[in-house]
Amino acid sequence: MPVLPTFVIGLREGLEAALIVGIIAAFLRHNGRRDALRWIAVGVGAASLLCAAVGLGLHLAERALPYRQQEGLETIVALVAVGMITYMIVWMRQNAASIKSSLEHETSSALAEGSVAALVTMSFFAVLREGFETAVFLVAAFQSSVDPSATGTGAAAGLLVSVVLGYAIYRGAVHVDLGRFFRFTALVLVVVSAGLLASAVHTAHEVGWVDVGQQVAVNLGWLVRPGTVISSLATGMFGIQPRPTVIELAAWLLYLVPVALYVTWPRRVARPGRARATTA
Amino acid sequence: MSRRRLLALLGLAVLGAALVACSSDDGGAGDGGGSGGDATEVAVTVTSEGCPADLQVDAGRTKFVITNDGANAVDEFEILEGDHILGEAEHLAPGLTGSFTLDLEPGEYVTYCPGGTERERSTLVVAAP
Repeated sequence: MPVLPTFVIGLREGLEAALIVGIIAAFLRHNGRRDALRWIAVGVGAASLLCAAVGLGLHLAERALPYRQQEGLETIVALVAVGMITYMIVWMRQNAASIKSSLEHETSSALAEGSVAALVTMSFFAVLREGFETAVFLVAAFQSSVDPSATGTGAAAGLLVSVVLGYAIYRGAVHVDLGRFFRFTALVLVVVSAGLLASAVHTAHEVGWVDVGQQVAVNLGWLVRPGTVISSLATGMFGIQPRPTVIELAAWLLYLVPVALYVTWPRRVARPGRARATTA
Repeated sequence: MSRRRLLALLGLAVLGAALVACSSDDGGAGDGGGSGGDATEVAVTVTSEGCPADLQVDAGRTKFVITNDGANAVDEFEILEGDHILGEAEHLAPGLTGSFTLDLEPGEYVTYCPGGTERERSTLVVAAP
């Protein structure tokens, strides 16, 4: 069946961007910055158009995407995203206790203008990160030597499903109340962020920046069988490779363990009755 | 009020991205050709077993054209020197073709087809001309 393989790739590539954008949008929305969602849309739209143009342009010029630059871009954007998501995690942790869901709209002052601009820019780059490669792949899928219409449809459908999933994550995250959003989302974010870091290590190897620790650390092939929808969900959302290398696993653990502890560690909480003296 | 700043930021971002995208495709390995001189073209087929069993080329500028022959679980082909990746083609769903060009010195290299059942890793021998 020629639809599935391209569907799986489209889904995997699309999810990485859709997930980051969905999280950022939900975060802004929960912090009373609904106004910034428009700019997220503008950023995502601009990035998509740019990627489509580059994909088509390269096809027309019969050139390949310079893969080293592409992997370098992926690495840098992933690292910046890890930094930003970590910032969100810390921010949530520090504000979770003092914010009641009913007061959602009053928290808007806490998120500075600069942070909003940074988050909007991040969503633009999140799409750009996988976008060039995905656009080139999409064009190639429609040129396949085996049943191009099915192959192309599979790729496009995979992308579409990833966008729908990203939107579902946003909607879901918006509908839980703020206290829960902070507590549970923070933990999910830790896993997502650790996965992004592992992905960054993976792509850094593909650029040629990281060559140490390339032995296979653990074989997860039984869990995330390559070429299946499960594997694209695992890789796209949590950065889990079928066979993580030693360095990928090390980076994942070194991030995950301390940050997860930080998020879950019981804390001397300012009780709801006690007002906070200042805003952050 | 922040609109102008956001627009400026986005503009900068687009510009930066465009620069990254358009900058030097002479960055060595990834260039798909068209511009490249007279690279020898070598056809490589990946299967569900993995990489070709024994791949041999002559030293010099070589364009690897990789085709996936119905392997759902393998969608990537890499050439490595030790643990260092020299070139790769990704997203090779069945029926799709990818390519990259390398200047290779004589010697033995590793080919890597993640997900292959028999030959996830194989060798590429580059012979002196």
